[in-house]
Amino acid sequence: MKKWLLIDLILLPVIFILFPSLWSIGAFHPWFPPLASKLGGKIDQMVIYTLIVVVIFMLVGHLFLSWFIVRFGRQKEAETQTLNPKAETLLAVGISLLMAVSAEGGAMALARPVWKKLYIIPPPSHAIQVEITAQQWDWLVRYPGPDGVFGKTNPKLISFMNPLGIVPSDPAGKDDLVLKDEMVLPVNHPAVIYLRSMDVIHSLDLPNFRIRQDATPGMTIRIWFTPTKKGTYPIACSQICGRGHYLMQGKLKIVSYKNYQEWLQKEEKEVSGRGEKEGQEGEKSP
Amino acid sequence: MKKIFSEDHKVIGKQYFFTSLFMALAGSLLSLLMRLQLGWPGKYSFPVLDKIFPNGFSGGVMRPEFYLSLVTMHGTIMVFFFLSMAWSGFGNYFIPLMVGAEDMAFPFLNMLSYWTAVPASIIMLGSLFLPTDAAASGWTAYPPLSAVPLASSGSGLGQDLWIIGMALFIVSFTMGSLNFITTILQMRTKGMTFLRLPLVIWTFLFANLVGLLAFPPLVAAALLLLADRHLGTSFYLPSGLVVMGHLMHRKGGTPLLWEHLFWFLGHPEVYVLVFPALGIAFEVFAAFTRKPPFGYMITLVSFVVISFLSLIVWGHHMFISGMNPYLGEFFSIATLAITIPFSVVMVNLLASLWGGKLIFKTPMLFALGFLSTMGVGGLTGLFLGNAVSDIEMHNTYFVVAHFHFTLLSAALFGVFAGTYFWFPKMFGKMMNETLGKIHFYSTLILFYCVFFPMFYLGFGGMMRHLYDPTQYAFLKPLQPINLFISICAFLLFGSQLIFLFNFFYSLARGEKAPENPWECSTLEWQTSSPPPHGNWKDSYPVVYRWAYDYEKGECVPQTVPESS
Repeated sequence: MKKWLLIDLILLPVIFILFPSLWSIGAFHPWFPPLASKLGGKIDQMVIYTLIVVVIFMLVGHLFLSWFIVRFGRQKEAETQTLNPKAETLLAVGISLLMAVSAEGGAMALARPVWKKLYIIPPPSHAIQVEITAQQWDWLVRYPGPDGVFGKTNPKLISFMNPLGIVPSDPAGKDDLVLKDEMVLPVNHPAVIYLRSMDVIHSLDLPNFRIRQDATPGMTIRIWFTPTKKGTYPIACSQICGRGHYLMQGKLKIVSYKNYQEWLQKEEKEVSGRGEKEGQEGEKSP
Repeated sequence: MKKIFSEDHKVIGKQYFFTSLFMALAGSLLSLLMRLQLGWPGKYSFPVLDKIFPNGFSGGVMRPEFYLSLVTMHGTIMVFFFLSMAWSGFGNYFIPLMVGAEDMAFPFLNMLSYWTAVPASIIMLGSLFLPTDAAASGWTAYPPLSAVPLASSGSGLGQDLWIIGMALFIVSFTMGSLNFITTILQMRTKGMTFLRLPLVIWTFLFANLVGLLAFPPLVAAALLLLADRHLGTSFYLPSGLVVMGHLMHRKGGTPLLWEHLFWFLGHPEVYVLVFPALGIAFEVFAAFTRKPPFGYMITLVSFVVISFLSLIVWGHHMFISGMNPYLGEFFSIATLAITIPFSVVMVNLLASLWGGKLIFKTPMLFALGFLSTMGVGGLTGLFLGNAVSDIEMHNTYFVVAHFHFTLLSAALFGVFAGTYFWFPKMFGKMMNETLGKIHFYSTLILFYCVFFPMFYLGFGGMMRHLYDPTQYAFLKPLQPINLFISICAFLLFGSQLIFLFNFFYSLARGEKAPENPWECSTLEWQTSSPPPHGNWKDSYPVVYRWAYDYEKGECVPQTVPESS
């Protein structure tokens, strides 16, 4: 067992210092998907603040652990046999204050304004409105059209041609634009998403915009963000939702405001063309 | 027959222990199948696996539904049927011994509790071999996915079996925890005052009190889910659901109700699982530092605070579920408040090493490993307890890494520390030290190798429950990490075989264990190894001292009168 003592005294501290240190260095690698939203930067700040706090505590804790192992591993006899109530109280109070300030205090100071902005304060009124309805395993994206109002929907009317069940008699729904797994938004302009689900719980995950919001059936949940960079970004699902969960992805294109307007007009034309045709057919059929 | 349906707490304790080991083996094999898929998605086919799971591997390639079943069953089995049951095993064996009783308070209830857990385990394991899939809605079983059979093939018979298995398990756990609590409160021997109890008994008491308060609501929730599935009710189903193009005629329910009920159990559950591991670490540290633990009273108070707070923080699993954002703020504050008493406990554990004489026997090594990994697990909770950073981390591999650093840390390091520590008492044999040390070092290094990189996957945005992450362009660059994790996971499993070999080898050929091999003061070591029927040789032990009386590195057993 003598041989083992030496191994323990060396190997334990090496492991306890090496792995957390390596991890800490690695954690500051730019892992996050490239940031492309305004408020997302604040969320990143919160994560990085927490990361710094956690890394410091983890390293200091493991340094103490390793030091204790080396220092007291060679001891012939235990030094303390009785309790030291004063030291115990001091340490507990100290740690409590430290955690209260760093974890609770830091988080409250940094997190509350972001949380408030994201969920509690209403989004800017000029924001673009988009409705996303999750369905196994697609994202149905709806723009309200020139009138700016979403048409009523009725689940009874859902069909292959009308995946959202938009009520044909509602004039607001006539110009609604419905896309599948595809969304286009202008850069530097706030966008509000009304998130719904048709069947099971999904979760809208826009990694580059730091948006992740469950789509809970029976609810319409509002979330908003301001894209800051042009490009094509993934839309992903981050809630287990059945067989096709791993395939439930879409594309979010961020373009200039001008390009967005052009794109929207082009799409709208198709909708109104189709709408007229459907309207005529509708008149014939009864 | 008398042996099988024994009412002796030691027999039941061993039965629980062996059942939980078996379930651990099954659960970890499931995780290996998952790692096989994640490391090499769609690359190879395994005709052998086709023979075992003809449904899961059609043509030797895993089906996506089967992957989700694996995720679900791995989580359920490991959390409830391995870790909870392992603690039931240790609790059953050692609570009566450590408080100085001859058996549990209700021996018949004890037997019934074990024999309710057995069918629950069989139902859970059996559902894996169903021709339709096993439950595939995650261990959280969120409806409507779990409530509507159309939504997923696993939501058929598999989900029914899952619900029944869970309900039976909770019935069993409730009987067990009532028994534990009564035994600790009522069966303490003469002189065993509350403040003379060893810390591990306290942790069992708090864990079971929390469990008793938190578990039963899930039985109610499960019954409501069964009703939603078969009786056409809509507790969890809102109106206007269209599943697979099929309109459901339900109205008025909400899935949020299930989320609340589930996490009301689900969050306290993790404390139920972690407390006894902390208790064992304190116990092992005292024995192998030859001194009392640091801050006995403060640790106790912290446990009380954690237990209370653990019951009011369940909402931190639901920050982004769409519940009221003000609730999110409350749960965020309450969750971060838990870090305060929890760090006090962890720092007391660390400070217990100060001034001691460290003896690096295998149980001590595992307890040290537990301190390190649990520390990391606890700290990384700061990312998830905070509603804002949770938006970025929710349901990514960061969460997977975090709960493996807490729960698997309690399982691998806590349960193994307990096993190496108490094996001599339970089986009357010593375990092999060299094999134990090899087991420890390989486990510790591989544990870090498997679960540390998962934090990075989480930072990179990799979602949980993904059958094939390479489908996403932004996750493709992370695939080498997945490969590395998979290889290390196989090696980690391999290193557990060393433990199994050591366990059975020592059982057959181990050195005979003395009464008190680690020279501890607590009561369980003051009787023969293994203890005789009725636990005590002639009469009940009488306690005169605190559990941790040391004089010059020599411990004084609790049964030695104060004056001598």
